[in-house]
Amino acid sequence: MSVLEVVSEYREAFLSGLLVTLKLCVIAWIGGLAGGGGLALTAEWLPRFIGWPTIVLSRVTQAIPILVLLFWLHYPAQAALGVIIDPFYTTVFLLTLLNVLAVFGILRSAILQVPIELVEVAKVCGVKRRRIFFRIKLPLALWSSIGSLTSSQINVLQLSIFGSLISVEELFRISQRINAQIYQPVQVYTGLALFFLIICLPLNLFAGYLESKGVAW
Amino acid sequence: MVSLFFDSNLATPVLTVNDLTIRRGNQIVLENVAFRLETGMFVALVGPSGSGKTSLLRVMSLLDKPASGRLSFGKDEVHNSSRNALIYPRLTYVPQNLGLWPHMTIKENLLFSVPKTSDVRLILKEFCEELEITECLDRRPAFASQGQRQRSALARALILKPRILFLDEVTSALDEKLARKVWKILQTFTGTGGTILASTHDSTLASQCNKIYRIIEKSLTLTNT
Repeated sequence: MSVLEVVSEYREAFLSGLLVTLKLCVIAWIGGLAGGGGLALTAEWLPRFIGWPTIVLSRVTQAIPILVLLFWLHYPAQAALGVIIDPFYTTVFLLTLLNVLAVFGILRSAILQVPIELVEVAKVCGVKRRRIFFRIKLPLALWSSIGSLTSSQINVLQLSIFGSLISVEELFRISQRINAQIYQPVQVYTGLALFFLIICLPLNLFAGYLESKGVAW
Repeated sequence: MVSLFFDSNLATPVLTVNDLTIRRGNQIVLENVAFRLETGMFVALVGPSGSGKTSLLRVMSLLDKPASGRLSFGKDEVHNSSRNALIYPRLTYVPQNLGLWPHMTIKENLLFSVPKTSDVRLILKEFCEELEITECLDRRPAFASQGQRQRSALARALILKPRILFLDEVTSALDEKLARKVWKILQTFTGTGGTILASTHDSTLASQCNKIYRIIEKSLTLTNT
C-alpha cells in the first residue's frame, strides 16, 4: 500500500486522532498566548511579583524533560493527591503551562529589548507611561517576537505527540495502532511526517515573512 | 512650582546648574559644571567627540542623574524624580540618534504627543513646510534620508511648543544651506521666549548663538557671549 492508500483506508481513525491533537493544541495555544501575554503585560507593572517567580518556574520546567514532567503529573502527582484525571487533561495542562512560560519568556524579553532611547524620547515628549507601553513598547516587542512566538506554537503541536505515552488518543498514538495492525511503518510514519510538514512549514514561512515586513531599527 | 519655571516674564533664570559632576561608570566625564540659561537664550555647546556633551544634555533633560551638584529649573531644585515627569514636554530633548519610532510614519511620529484637541492640519503645515519634510510624512523613518529624519525629530520637538529645548547634533547630517535654515528656525523659537542648549560641531553655527560653552578637559568654559 502507498502512503495515500493507507491514509485513505484508515481515514476515520486518522481524523479522530487529528481532532484530539487539534483539541490539545488549540487549548494550549489559546491558554498559552492569553496566559503568557497577560503575565508579560502584568510584569511591566509588577516585575518583582510576576517577573521573577515566572522566570524561576520557567527554569525549573526547562531543566526537566517534558516526558518526565508528563509522567510525573500522570502518576506520582495524582497518586499523592488521591485523584484520577483523564490523561487528555493532564497533557493539556502541561502543554498549556509550558506554552504560558514560553510565551511569557519571549514577550518579556522582547519588551525589555525595545531600545531605551525610544522610550526616553516618548517620556521627554510628555507621553504617559501607559501610552508608552501600549503604543510604543508593545507593538515593537510583538513585531520582533512574532517569529519566536510562531515557532513556540509549532513546538506545542510537536510536543502533543508525547500525550500518546499516557494513552491520549492523538494522532501519533493512532498511527502507532494502525502500524501495529498493518505493519507498514514506512507508509504510516511518512504520512505522519507529511502531516506535520504540511502544517508546520507554511507557518514557519509565514512567520519569516512577517518578521521581514517588521520594523528595522 | 511649575508656573514659576514656565513664566518667561520673570527675571529668574530658566535653568541653573551648580557644581555638577557627571560620571560614566567610574570615570568622571565632567566636574564642577556651573552655568545659567536665561529665557530666550540660544546657547551652543561645543567640544570634541566623547567629551561629555551628550552626558550633560541627558542630565539636563533629567534622563540621567548627576554624581553630585544641583540643578534648578526656575526657583525649584530638581531632586524628586517622580516630579520630574511633570516638566515634560515643556522641557524636551532631541537626542543624537533622534529616537524616531520606527513602526510609525513620520506624520504619526510628529502627531503622537500632540493633544487631540489641536488643529492637526495647521500644525503640520506650520512645521513641515518650514523644515521641508512634507514629502516624507507618509514614510516610515527607515525610508527617509538621515537629513529628513533629523528635521522630523526636530519638528516633533518644536510641535510640542516647549519652553526649553536641548538638542544633540541636530544639524550634523544637513547640508550647509539646510543647516543654516534650521538654525534660523531655532533662533525664531528663542525669539518667542524659548530657550535652547544645542551641541554642535559646526563653529559657524555656534558663532550665531548668544553664548558658546566649550568642554575642555572635563570642565565647561564660557568662550563667547
